[in-house]
Amino acid sequence: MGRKEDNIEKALKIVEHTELVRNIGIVAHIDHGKTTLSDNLIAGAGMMSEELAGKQLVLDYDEQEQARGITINAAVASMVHTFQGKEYLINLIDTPGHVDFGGDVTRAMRAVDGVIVVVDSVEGVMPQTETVIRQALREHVKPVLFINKIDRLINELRLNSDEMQKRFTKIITDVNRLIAKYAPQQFTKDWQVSVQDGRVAFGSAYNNWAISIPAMAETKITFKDIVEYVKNGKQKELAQKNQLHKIILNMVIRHLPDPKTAQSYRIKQIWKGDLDSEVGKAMMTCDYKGPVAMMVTKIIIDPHAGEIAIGRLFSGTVKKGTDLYISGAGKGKVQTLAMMVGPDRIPVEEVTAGNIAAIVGLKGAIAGATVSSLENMVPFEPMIHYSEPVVTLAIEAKHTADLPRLIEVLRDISKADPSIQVDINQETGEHLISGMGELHLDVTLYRIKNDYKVEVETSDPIVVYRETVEKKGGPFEGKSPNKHNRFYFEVEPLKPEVIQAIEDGDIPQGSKFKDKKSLVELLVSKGIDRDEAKGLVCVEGTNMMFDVTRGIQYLDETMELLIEAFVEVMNRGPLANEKVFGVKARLVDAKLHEDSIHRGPAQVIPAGRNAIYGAMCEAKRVLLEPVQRVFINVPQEEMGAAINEIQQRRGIIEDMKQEGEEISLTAKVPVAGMFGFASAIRGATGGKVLWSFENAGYQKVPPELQDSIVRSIRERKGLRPEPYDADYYASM
Amino acid sequence: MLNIIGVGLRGTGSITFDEFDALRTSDLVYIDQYTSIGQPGLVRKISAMIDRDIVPLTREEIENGSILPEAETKTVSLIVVGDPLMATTHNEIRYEAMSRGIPVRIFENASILNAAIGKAGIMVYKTAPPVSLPKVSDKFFPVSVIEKIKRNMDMGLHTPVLIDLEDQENIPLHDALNSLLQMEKKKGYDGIIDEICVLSRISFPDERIIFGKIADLLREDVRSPYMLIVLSKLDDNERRFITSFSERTIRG
Ligand SMILES: Nc1nc2c(ncn2[C@@H]2O[C@H](COP(=O)(O)OP(=O)(O)O)[C@@H](O)[C@H]2O)c(=O)[nH]1
Repeated sequence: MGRKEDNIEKALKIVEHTELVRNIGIVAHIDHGKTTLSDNLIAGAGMMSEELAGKQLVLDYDEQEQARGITINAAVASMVHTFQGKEYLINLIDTPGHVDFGGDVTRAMRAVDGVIVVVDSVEGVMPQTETVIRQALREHVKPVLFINKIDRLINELRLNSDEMQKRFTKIITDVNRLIAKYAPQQFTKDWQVSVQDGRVAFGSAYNNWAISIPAMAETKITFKDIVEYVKNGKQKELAQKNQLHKIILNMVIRHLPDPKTAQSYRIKQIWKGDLDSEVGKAMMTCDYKGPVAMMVTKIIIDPHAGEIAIGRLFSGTVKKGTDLYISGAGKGKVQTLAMMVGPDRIPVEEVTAGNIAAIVGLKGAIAGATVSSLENMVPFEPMIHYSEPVVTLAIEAKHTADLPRLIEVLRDISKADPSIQVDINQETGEHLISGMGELHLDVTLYRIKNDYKVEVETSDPIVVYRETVEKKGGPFEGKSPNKHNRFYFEVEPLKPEVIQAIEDGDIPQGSKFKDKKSLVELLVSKGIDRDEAKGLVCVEGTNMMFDVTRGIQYLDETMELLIEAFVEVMNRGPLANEKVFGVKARLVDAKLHEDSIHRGPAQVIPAGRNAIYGAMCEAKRVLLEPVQRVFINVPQEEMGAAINEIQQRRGIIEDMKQEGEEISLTAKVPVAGMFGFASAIRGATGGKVLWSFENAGYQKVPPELQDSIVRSIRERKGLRPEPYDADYYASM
Repeated sequence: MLNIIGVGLRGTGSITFDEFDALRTSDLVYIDQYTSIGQPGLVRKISAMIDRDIVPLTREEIENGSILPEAETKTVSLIVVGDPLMATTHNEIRYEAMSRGIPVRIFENASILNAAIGKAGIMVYKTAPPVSLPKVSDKFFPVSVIEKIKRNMDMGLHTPVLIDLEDQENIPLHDALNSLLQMEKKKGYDGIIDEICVLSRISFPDERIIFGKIADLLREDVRSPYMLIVLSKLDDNERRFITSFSERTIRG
């Protein structure tokens, strides 16, 4: 039996002892070494042969992930590790390293109880480090810290051991500040990482060694010794004495919670059902005898097996051949049940609470679905990942006969990757596919062509703009076509902290609120007036509608229609029919016809629409464009070329640092300027560039460009070139 | 000059001499086919009678007062089935015209409401103002309809119910009655509606008046246009009249 098979055997024995299981993830700013660490952990723990590690990236198993060297799909690898005489099973759920694919990261967080935060010691805490720590803590996932690339501090920056330790202190302080900021209240202190108790490890993932204070106490090695080893090119020796996987996995086992411990405090956060019910109790105690309760965190579409639902089992035992209920999608039979080991699915007969299962047969399950043996289980809280697509393109089948197939493929793809959005342009009948960036769409198109073998033609990518207002507008009167109903709306920009709460999912979407009371409290805490907060009727995207009227007869009968009007306007802004961002609309007065037949949909919807549009016209409409933060590393002599490339694209340099011979630049660039950046920057710098980016929200389009951009969007959409003004909406 | 001309309920038969004169001397003649439905062939017959083209107006054209500019220089007539001023819309046009300084003449005529109350045999003194029953959906479900009926019932009043149109026809009787029942349920008023009078094609050659319990009427079918009167407690005279003036539905 090979080592891999042997380990699988062992793993199968451990799964039922939840105290011996850890479900973890590794998160990092891009290029800080997450993939390298994952591979070397897996290699060390013996799930794959040591020689292969580093050559074949197990977690990056999609062909094009390897080609691009980025991690796209969260896969799972299970490892067996012996600690203090006991064998533990560590399920490592890979989280994508590219913010372009942010949706997958949040979902993976639901499946894990702990994370290793990797920080590059040369770069320190970066914006994405903050993002991933925040995402983990929101899900009540406990962090430990790995400070990576120590070899570079020594070989490139030539730091001595004192200078090195200063750097570590800074990184640890920064990370702890973030933990204090984002951790759940009860853990802000307990979850602080410290060197002394061994919740911080240092090392070089690439060179396969790591150290921690508890380990240093055993091996008596000092930082000075380490500097010597590295300086003298003896990292191999260092790695033999201080094996990366041992140090890291020991840290994981000692400091990250087992499923049972974690579930005792996580369930409250991720499930709003009755904790005293049978399933509630079973989940709180991770009981394998309880009802099955699983949350699907990922769907993989396999060419042979079809849809594979991967998820975290919070209670019960999933057995092959049994029926399970899928929230919102009826019933499915567990045809094949497996544990995932990188690209391999190892078939098993059953999976017990606290583990990660891969199930074939749950047709209709989507990422985020709740799967249970109970027919009416309260679903898990949705994992809101509020990131809107920033780039879109039109796609069609090269051969008309392939159209039905293409539609099917697009549906599959948006199911497997919910951050891909597929729409049909009502005017032209084209299919539009939108995603988190040019690269994201490239990857998706690559899949359509190579995995699904559909030949397609696409338009050039187009930026997805947003519209908002700059000040207060209204009250504006909107009349119904029969003139017998009048609605008065005011609009103004929504406060940034409220927008943030919507984006974080703390303020839910829609108009049916489960717990309006606590929502009102939340709004009040964000500075919204209590009376206004009570009048919340709808959240659409990052926009909110409030009804602040008092005692208007029959108004409640028209509210659903006004909501429809509001939703329509928020999805088709007055400037260019782009989505609206961060607008608060307040209904302040209404005059209604006595008889309901005169205030039906055909009257109320246009009246509401005109009132909101008109108020927006008075509130100074502005066009917003998505921007990206771009991180660039170049040798000093290529700096000028890189800066030039950024500036040509309306980019602004935000920060510039020198590290040895390298310059690292941080810039903010409009997405509109980023098309073709990859090859341009490579060309400009003679290929000597490392770069990455993340979406950084929206900013105002420069005023001198707004009119012409608005005009060109409108023309593209077949609208009249000039947007309508307030007078137009008043005369309607 | 704008004439707003109610032509009553009997097609050409209920056009008065004054109205005939006014129509014949108009430069332009329009008809509102949105607010109520006339007898079959009405437009063709009046047109032949007055020897003028009659232009039907859409709902938007009526609502946005598109005929007013012409009325500033020409004599324009707007034909309305039944009585001209029952619908707020027509008073709106009248008001708009006056504010533009256009002289307006109103030609009143028989209204469907009066006809219905009288023909059903119930007392006008015991009849409340009408309510309309719109086509409902999950986004538009105005329970004020049943609230008004309930309030009338509490005061011992009957409620005439005008029925929404869809494709120029009243929504089917079955749907209308079901909406009323759903509204009862939603408000917890179950069972307040007991007896109903259905009046179909009033003053048309195939007029029908049906009286019965709501549960039995669910199995009936009537032709458009029709309306309902939701009955509160009938007194002896009313019951005597209504039972003899109407067909009774087959009791189940
Ligand atoms: N010098 C050095 N390079 C490393 C180390 N760990 C990773 N790298 C390199 O850093 C780059 C990014 O690493 P990768 O694991 O792909 O980062 P990820 O984007 O976080 O997954 C790769 O070129 C690695 O070889 C390390 O400990 N020392």
